Amino acid sequence: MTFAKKFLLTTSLLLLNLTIHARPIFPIPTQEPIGPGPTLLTLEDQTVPLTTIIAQIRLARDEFPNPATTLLLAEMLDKGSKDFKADDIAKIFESKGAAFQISSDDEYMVVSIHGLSEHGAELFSKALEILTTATFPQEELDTLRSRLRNNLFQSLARPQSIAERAFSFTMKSGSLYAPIRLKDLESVTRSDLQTAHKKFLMSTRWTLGLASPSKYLSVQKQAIREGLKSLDPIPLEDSFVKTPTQPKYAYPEGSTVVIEVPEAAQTIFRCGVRFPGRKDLGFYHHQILAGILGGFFESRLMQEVRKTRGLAYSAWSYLEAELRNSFLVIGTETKSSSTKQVNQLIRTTLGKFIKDMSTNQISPKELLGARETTKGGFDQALETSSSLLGAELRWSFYGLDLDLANKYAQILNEIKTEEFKNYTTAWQTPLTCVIVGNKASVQGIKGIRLSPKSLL
Amino acid sequence: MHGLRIAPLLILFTLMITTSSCDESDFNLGDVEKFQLENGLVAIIGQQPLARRTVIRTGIRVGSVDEPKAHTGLAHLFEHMMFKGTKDYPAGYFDQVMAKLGAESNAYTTYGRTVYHEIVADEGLEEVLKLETSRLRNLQINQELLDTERQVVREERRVRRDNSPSGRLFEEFFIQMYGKEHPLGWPIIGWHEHVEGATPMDCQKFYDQWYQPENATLVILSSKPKSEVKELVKKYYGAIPSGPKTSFANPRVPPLTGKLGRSIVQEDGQVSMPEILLGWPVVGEEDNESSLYALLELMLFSGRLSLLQQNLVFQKKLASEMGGGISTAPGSSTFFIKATPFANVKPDLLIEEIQKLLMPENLTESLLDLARNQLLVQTFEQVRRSDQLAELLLLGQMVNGNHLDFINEIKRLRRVKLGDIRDLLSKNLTSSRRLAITLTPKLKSQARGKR
Repeated sequence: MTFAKKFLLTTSLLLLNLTIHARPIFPIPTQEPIGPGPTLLTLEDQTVPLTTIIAQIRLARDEFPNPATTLLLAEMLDKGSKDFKADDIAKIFESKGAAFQISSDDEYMVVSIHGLSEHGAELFSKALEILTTATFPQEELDTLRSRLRNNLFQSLARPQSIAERAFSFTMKSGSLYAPIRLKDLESVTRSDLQTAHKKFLMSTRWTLGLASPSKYLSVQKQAIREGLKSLDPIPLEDSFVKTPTQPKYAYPEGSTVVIEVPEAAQTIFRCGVRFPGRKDLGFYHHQILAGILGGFFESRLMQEVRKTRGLAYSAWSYLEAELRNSFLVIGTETKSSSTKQVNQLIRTTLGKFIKDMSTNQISPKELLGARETTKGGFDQALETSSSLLGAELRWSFYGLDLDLANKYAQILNEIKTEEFKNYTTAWQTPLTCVIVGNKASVQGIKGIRLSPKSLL
Repeated sequence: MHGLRIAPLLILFTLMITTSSCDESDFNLGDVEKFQLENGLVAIIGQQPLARRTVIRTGIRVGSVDEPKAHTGLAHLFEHMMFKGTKDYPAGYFDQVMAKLGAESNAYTTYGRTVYHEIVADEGLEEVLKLETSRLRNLQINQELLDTERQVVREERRVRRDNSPSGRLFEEFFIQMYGKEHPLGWPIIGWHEHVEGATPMDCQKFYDQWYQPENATLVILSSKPKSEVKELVKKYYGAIPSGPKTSFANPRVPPLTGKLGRSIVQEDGQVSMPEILLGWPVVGEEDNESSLYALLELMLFSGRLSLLQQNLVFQKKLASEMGGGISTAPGSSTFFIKATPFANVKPDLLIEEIQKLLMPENLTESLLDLARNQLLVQTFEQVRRSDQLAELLLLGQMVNGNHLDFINEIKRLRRVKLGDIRDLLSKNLTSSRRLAITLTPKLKSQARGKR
């Protein structure tokens, strides 16, 4: 190839590249190592003088014998430290209108600091000091436990909560995704929290994110670098991916669990099928299929259950995506007298859907609707730099492309209706269902009978 | 005994709290313009170069307070019917187009207004405006569609009210506070029998009376050039003919005549532990004083240091959950507190302790500073979300005739004196103006007897 040809080719490729990426819709975070372990993702955001700093910590629930450990660890980390009592900690953040939140997802923990940018560096330093010297006061632990216990009892007054909890027990038994039992909440000790705290502070488990206006970035980054020196820098062999626990069905796959709630004014359905995890190659196809089934107003379940027959306010399905497993969740609520009709309708609609999937009968119009609705919802969910940063940290944790925000639309655009038949097998798993209703509504429905209290 | 522990806690709040150097001048609203069309419709359009999607909000000044008392729930049922066909397109078409465009589309009804909203890629704006204007002038209501949709609405009522202890608690509260015959006493979603009895003619009458351009406000925020959006608004909305001027009942909401200062206990077959709801009637949403309750709400409930959280959840351990706020309405809003007592705590004791804390001297400068700072961060957060900014602009215009009212409000709230909030408390949130409802578990023997 001559130099001129090479030049033209390179230039045109470069121009093409510039055209495509001239104005990325979503900003791509810069990445840099901070200290020996963590990486820092940074997004500049000039829209408002707000800063979000997020630390994502690889600490899954099933790393500890008691599955309630990380939940209580998250709740207790801001309830007392070497130099501050819980009220002092609250004062540091609340008095500046800022939020300091620690949460435990099933698969990881998240620390976030959100507030006016002018306070960002100072608040991060304080947060690190509090996190690294947390003392887990017994009195705070007792109060917390009482509140969680109370909330759990209270949630069992709501038929929807009963159904959600029963569904999780049924589909996700024995895994890190299963709901936490009361006995587990009661038995976590201070000593358990102190042990877990050591793992929490291992810097190799941390990934950080910072979203802020540019004029604050250098000071905030400096505070982050300094603060992270207080973490344990010793690399830890990563046991996270090597010893995953797999969810089990609590009852044989395809079972129906029936819960009678004496004065329920509606019958609630939660049904599901287990799918491979977030990194499975078929994830996006399954996501769109779940959308066609029940992801928007024109979806099949909405058409059959709500629009044509007026049997429910909503009938929906979506793919709950986790790293190790995903779960198709189908749900609706109907008046007691329509229970059997809706039970049947969910199954026939799904049956017909699977048949259409296997015989290429899913229409391009359905695909278009589900795809565009999913893309729209995705864009909307990432509207602010805080939400985008949170998503990017999750993608980083899952080992996905950090620029997924800009590539997502293209990935979905490439899905074709004729490809759906290749994904039929996963959908053919028998549907596992939870049905919660009053005595008259669930009478005659065959299934495993549970009481709401058994869900504690 | 519990009251003795208040004083040391208040000392904690007297410690210095710094006030932020940021203020409302840091709000970046983009280029926002308001204009009125000849048919009376008010449009507010804003260009936001970084916005990824266009937000469209259409507010109609009609809500459940404007319904005849024999047709409760009509404003909300009608909102559902707006998603059906028009003379220009068949039933189902609206949702099909929204799906094709990947638009998020929904609506809500309150006591005083009905709001329709869409979020769509910029390219879809014109198509959405075509549909929106068609349903504003040419809606078609038929018996069959209404019959199906009323069942959907009744299912919605079951989800939100009949099958939710919290929903039942609020419904009962408003009945007791205002009376079943008062527009604020009947639920926005209506009674089952009224939803069941609504006819196509009722809907048509409602549409003709209220859905007039002069009674509508439109907000569009987009990255598209403002001039282009303005032309589209003129093209589509300008073509809607003027209608009769909308007239509201005078007063729009009759005065409250219910008896206050009462405590009611109600048994409930579903709840496993008591739930408490306290409420006070306060000024209507159009009154300037209404916004002071936003600050009071933060001082009472927001965060561990707030007055009620700190004392009743963390110190005295009387309640496991505690929250509240203002439920706004034209004419008369309601400030409420909702709490769940711990299992060993009698609901009456918790009510008494809440009321004891609602004394002006318990509100301090430190609590007010804390609330001001939180309010500023909250508003920044709202302003950077285009759908929330659109809502702020719409409400400002619909309630106070000024789309930028929220900026004035923030300015005012950041300069408000502690004395003003204390006056609010001592004047309005007293036990004699309060209504308290406790939902308690039904005794087992009674529950069995009933079945």
